[in-house]
Amino acid sequence: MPSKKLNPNKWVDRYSDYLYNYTIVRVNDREVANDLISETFLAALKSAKYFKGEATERTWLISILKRKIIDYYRKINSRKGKAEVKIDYSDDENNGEWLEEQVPDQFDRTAEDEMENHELGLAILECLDSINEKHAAIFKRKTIDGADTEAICNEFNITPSNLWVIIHRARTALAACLEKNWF
Amino acid sequence: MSKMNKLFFVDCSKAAECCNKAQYKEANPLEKFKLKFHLLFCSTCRKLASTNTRLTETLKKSKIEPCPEAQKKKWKDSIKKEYAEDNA
Ligand SMILES: [Zn+2]
Repeated sequence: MPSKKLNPNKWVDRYSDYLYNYTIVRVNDREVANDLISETFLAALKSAKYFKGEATERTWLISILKRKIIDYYRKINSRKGKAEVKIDYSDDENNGEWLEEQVPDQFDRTAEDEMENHELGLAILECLDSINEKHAAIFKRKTIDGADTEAICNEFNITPSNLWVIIHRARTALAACLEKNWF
Repeated sequence: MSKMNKLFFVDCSKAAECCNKAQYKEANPLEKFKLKFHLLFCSTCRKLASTNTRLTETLKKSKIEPCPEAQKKKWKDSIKKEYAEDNA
């Protein structure tokens, strides 16, 4: 039954950029982030049978990742006693649990800007999920990875003019998606 | 004049291509000129171009960090393995 809703072989292509960017800001360590995401995928596979399809696949994966991040800080906090914790209070879940943790007190304007830009990045990645999958993949290679036009053409077996048409469609769709909140 | 036309006048789809190339700094001087010339008399593309430029700024501001391909591959392999076992 869950196989109808979940598509684990697509998880990395579809969600890893989002999960990665979500995590690196919160744990500030790429190695740790990678481990937490690995654990998230495995935990998700293990509990796939409990996925009811009430949330989207992405929301569900993020909720598992959030747990992993909380657990990670719990471990650190119990080890060190006190530690600076980067958390997102706008998240509706787990508020009660978060309140026990330490809050960074120098939450100045720069940090706020950074957080906003980070949220913007996640909004962009979320929008990219809602557009044509191939267009999104090509757009990401070009824009986020900064890959060469020629390399991408070889990778996807397309001509440069195909590439520019696809980039155009992706950018138009992305702008439309971002229009509501960020433009 | 017709040669001049061909050189300087481009349709909206060609203008869009030049505009997108420009977002990635891949438009050559002639393409940049064609785009600017087209924008002089095409308000539709003018609007598109300003949205496009804003999108480039937004993308830059967001500082999305690419997830390393090698790491993605590791995840894919471990999911594939685990998933195959679960469904064996
Ligand atoms: Zn036009």
